[in-house]
Amino acid sequence: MKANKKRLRILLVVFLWAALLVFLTHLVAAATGRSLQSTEVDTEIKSHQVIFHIDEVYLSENIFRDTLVAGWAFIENEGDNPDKQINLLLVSPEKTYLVETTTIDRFDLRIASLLDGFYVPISRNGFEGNFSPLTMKNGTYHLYLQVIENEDLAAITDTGKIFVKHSNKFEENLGGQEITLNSNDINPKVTINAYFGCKVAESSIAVEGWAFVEESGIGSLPSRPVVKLTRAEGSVAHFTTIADSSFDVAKQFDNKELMRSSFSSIIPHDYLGEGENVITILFEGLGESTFSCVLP
Amino acid sequence: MKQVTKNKYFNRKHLIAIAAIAIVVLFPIAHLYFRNLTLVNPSEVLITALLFFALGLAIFGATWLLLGNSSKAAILTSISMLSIMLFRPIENRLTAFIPILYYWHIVYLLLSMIILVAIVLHLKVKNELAQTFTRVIAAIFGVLVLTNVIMAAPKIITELSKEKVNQSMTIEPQSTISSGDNVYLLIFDEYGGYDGLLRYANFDNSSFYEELENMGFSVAPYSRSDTISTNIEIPNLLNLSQSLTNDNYRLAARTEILEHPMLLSLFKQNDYFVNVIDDQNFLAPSEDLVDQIFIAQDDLAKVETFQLVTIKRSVFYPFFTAKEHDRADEIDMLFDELGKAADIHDSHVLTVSYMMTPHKPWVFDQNGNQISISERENWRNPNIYIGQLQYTSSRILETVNKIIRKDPNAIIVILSDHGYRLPMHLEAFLDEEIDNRALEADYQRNILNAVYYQGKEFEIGDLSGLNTLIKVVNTHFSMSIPFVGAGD
Repeated sequence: MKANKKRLRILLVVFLWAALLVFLTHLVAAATGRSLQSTEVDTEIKSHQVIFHIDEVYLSENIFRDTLVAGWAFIENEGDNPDKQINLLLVSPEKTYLVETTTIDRFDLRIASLLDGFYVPISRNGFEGNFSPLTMKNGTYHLYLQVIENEDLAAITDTGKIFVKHSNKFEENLGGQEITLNSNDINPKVTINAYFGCKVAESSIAVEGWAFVEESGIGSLPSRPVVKLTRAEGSVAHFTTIADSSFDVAKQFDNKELMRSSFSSIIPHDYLGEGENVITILFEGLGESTFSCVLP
Repeated sequence: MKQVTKNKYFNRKHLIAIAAIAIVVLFPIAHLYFRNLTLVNPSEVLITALLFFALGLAIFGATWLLLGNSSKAAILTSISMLSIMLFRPIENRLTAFIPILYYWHIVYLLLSMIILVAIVLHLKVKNELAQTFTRVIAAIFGVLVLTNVIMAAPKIITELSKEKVNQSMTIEPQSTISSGDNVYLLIFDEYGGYDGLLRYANFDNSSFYEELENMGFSVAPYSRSDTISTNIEIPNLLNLSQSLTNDNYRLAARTEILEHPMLLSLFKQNDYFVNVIDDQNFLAPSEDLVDQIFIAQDDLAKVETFQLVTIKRSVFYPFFTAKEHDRADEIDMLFDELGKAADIHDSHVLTVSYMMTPHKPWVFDQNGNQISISERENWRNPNIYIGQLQYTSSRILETVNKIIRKDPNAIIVILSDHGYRLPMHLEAFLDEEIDNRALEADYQRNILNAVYYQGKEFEIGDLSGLNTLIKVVNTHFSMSIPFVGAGD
């Protein structure tokens, strides 16, 4: 009887010890104010267009993996919205987390020549959001911005930024993952307008530029562009890209739909073949750019 | 009959316990020190060892009170100190194996282990056995420390057998004549010369040289230093002689030269106000030679000190990891300070500045934006280094322009200690091989070298950095210090 009691006590201590080990990260996050707020938001609803730019994504290497996302965002209006709110939404198929940001005045936006022709609200257009991915579930997260100018004016937009959480690692996806295309079709009615450069570094090639689809003289971005690598012996590989702001392109072609036509992709050097490698941009099922860069 | 009283607190058993802790603490420190023998100052090692030993004694005191036996306390303290001092390597190995673990998990696991050992020691281990264990621990770690000493013995013998550095050059004050114009010596660590940048980073830096020439500088884009070691080149520059070479280099000699360099003595003898701007406290000149000194950071904020490296391997590393913006702020602060140098006096001011940029850690891109921490020591991508180099160039141009506008009679010497040492780092840290050592050494010695001599023509050809400085000093003081080195 006494032995049983002792065993039970040891078992309880071991259980408590293990439970503490399992929940330690959540406890640390709670104690340091780094718990993330889980939410449910429908990101598919299209409402107003959000004009935005992500100035900085900073992934610190401290023990909490603190992350900073800063930039500016607004929905066109001419009012002053002192209670404006900008939230970061980290969205995966399973989970969505909401991070409230601090809004700041960015009066420079109202005189920026790139935003000529836009109705830039008076204040609180800048934002800085800090979060720690400690308590996030493993997965791939798309970063959305939720902009609430006032009670009647709110919208959600995909920033094109992607993060991957896996165990104790949290990384930004910079494009360049090899993918298999579902369709190799070409639509003869469309033209792929593209301009880009291929910067060769020690272990990778950075492909950066802009691209969009033009049909009957109207530009659009039906999907994310894909980088196509054609080796000298004829084999082909395709790589993902990530989007960025391109107000200059939108301005040049007088089309606000093209504000996210900038792209970039970091392709590991190992994918290059012997001899000439040709890099082009394509939109799946639509067509390929005539503009290309040739390596080496 | 003589009565012998037994000292309760300092008997043999307790002394062995304390000795065991001292030896255990010494082991990680000796391991690190003997691998970096020529780079580390023994006084730094001593301070570090004493710090950790003091911590060990504190833990020993607490556990002795708890367990009531000094030998048991010594065993527990030894395990605790190893866990504390080798925390980072333990964490790296465990997280590579189980990636869901974070810092606090490792702390928790090690703490649990220490508590478990304490319970076992208290309940199951007899005092005599604990005493034997303490002796075994002392013996094992004693052998490990000794192994480190023996393995480093050839290096120690080489260091001890080096000839004494001849530092006897002295200048008579009456032999010099000078206009008293202000002199600025600006040294930028690892700023590559034209050839080296082109070879290793495919970067053409000619626009920077053109801008310097437009301001009135004479430039030597193909200039070489005599070494690729900062510890040799900078003492030689400041001593206006080739006092140190690869063959006679000793850390003590380097420190001695930097404390009393001939350049500072010479200007001091000529009634100059000596202003020093010192990054990483690398120059650390003697107080009697300096009138004003700006030190960018304290000892624990320096990039490479023995104390910091040891602490960063310990459980305390999160508290000593550089804050994200610290290094960038320091570099900007150093340039701001340099910009103020022309405001000190209209004449008789020598400013000597050393900045560890574009040397790693790289923190800026070409526009002065901060880059990701993960890129700060990325030798694989030369563009990271080039970004910091371009930012450094723009700050150099801005600063010298400010100095010249305020002080047009200034004499400004801009040098680097060595060039961009890409092959050396690829070999040392990334296991790449160098096919032609002599050739790569030549490119890695290609330095930044430019002189503004009151806007006048000043021929420097392809002189080495040291000979350029000697020529400037000779011209300024009407002296004839001989040129040195084989190259010139």
